[in-house]
Amino acid sequence: MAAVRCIYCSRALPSAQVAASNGEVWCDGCRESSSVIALPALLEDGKPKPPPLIEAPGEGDAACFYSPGRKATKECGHCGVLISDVWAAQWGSKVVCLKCLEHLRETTKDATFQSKRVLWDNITALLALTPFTLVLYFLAPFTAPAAVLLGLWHWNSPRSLVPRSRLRLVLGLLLGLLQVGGGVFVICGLWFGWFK
Amino acid sequence: MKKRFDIYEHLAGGTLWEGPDHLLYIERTGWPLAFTESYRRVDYAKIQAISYARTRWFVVLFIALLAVLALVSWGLWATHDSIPGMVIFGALTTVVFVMTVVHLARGPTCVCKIQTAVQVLNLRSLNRLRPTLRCVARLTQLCLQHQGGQALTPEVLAAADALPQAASPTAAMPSFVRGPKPPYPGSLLVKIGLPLLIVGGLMMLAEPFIQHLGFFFAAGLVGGVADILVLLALASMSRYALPASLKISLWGAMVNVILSFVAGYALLMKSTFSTMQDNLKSGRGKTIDANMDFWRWMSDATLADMGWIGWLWMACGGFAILFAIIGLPAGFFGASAPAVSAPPPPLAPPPEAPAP
Repeated sequence: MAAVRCIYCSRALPSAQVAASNGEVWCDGCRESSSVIALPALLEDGKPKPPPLIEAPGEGDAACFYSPGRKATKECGHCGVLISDVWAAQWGSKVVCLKCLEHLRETTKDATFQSKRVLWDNITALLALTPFTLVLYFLAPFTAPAAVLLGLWHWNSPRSLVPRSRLRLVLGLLLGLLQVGGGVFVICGLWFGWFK
Repeated sequence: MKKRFDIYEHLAGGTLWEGPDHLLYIERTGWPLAFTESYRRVDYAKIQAISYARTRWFVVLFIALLAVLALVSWGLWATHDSIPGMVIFGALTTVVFVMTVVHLARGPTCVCKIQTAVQVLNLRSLNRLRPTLRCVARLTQLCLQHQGGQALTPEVLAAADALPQAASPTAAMPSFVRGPKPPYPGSLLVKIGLPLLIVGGLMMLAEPFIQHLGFFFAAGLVGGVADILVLLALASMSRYALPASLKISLWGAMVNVILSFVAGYALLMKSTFSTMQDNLKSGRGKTIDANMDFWRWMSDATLADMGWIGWLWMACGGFAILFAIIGLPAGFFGASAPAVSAPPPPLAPPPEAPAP
């Protein structure tokens, strides 16, 4: 059985104490109390499994699509090929082959499999808003064109995994364009003497 | 805010989403808007324990907000005869008041973590007790559904505790994953920063009485360097268990740095307005003709010219000296001595006993 960890100092808490206190536990390490809900998975043997042995397919057995020398034990839930344990990745209740996992993450950008995203809409909005702060106004000649370029370049890039509109991107783009336009107007005005 | 998308349903805080067989936790980095999002998926079937605890941040934050509210209210009272002052401090007071009310309405703060065989995940979005209890109840229900059982009863846990511990990755972890901090080893930053803070504080105290531009810049330079050193010391010493007096000294100095920054900023504003008023009176127009006028006003300003800012300035100087003195003894003499190891045994064999 695995040990429940203290929420503050990660010290292993004795299960007997968790049981006796009915979930309200006191850690002797950091002298803090916390509430713990112990779940059945705590009782499972979490012993790390050794890597699967190479088992050649026997008479009538299917061979792994990627390693023909291995016996196929699973089927990829995405492309359907038969694969051995070493080529299989458990993803929630699904099993996918490693090739599909990489393809889904990197190429297809599947929301169920992706692990990280850069939020270009937020970056564009921040760049456009930077000059409006009290102390960073002098950065406008750099941030405004950058906001416009980033906004246009990443117009179709995926935003947050939680779907949202292009409002931030549009806002950043408009503010950036406004600043660039204003800058061009001032430079032209000074150059051609419009303000005299 | 969306309540569902794709296969997920909203659970709490915009960062916790309930999937059919797993929990999706979105970690965001960047400020004030997030630059990146990382997605952590935890199978319900693999969650071993859910822990939560009430924290003291609710009280600490409430006191801090009250202190700020008192400060800005005092600013509002002090500037009640000038319209710009009233507008600025009125807006600040309203904002801080609303923040205090929202903080009270959101209720007590807490921390919540889930444990699996390979990680302990801190659910940062669950930082208020009421939504946390709701979320924990739902999460427990989902985990029990996927683990096919009841929550562990005291009898089961007590019986399991008598069995030998399985060699799971978490069981194999040492008892202290994050142990107590090592003692304060001494720091050059502290030893230079604190004495310099005293010098900076003395110069701040003397500044309203010495009308000299060079002294004004010297005071700013010394104070600024001392503040930076103290902040660096605080950052670098955070991994050690500091003596209480040094901890109070460094944290107090940090708060004092923020107050000094406020005082300096207010002084800059006051100097701008005063120089502009002088220019209007002398018929030079509504601009600051020469930067020197601006700096000279600040260096020549007396306590009477500065008004309430002067008193804030003097208080900052006084507190800088006070906090530095509190931390000096521990900073210089509170370092723990390195452990003295036994001398290594001699390499040469011991001399043989003389023959009888």
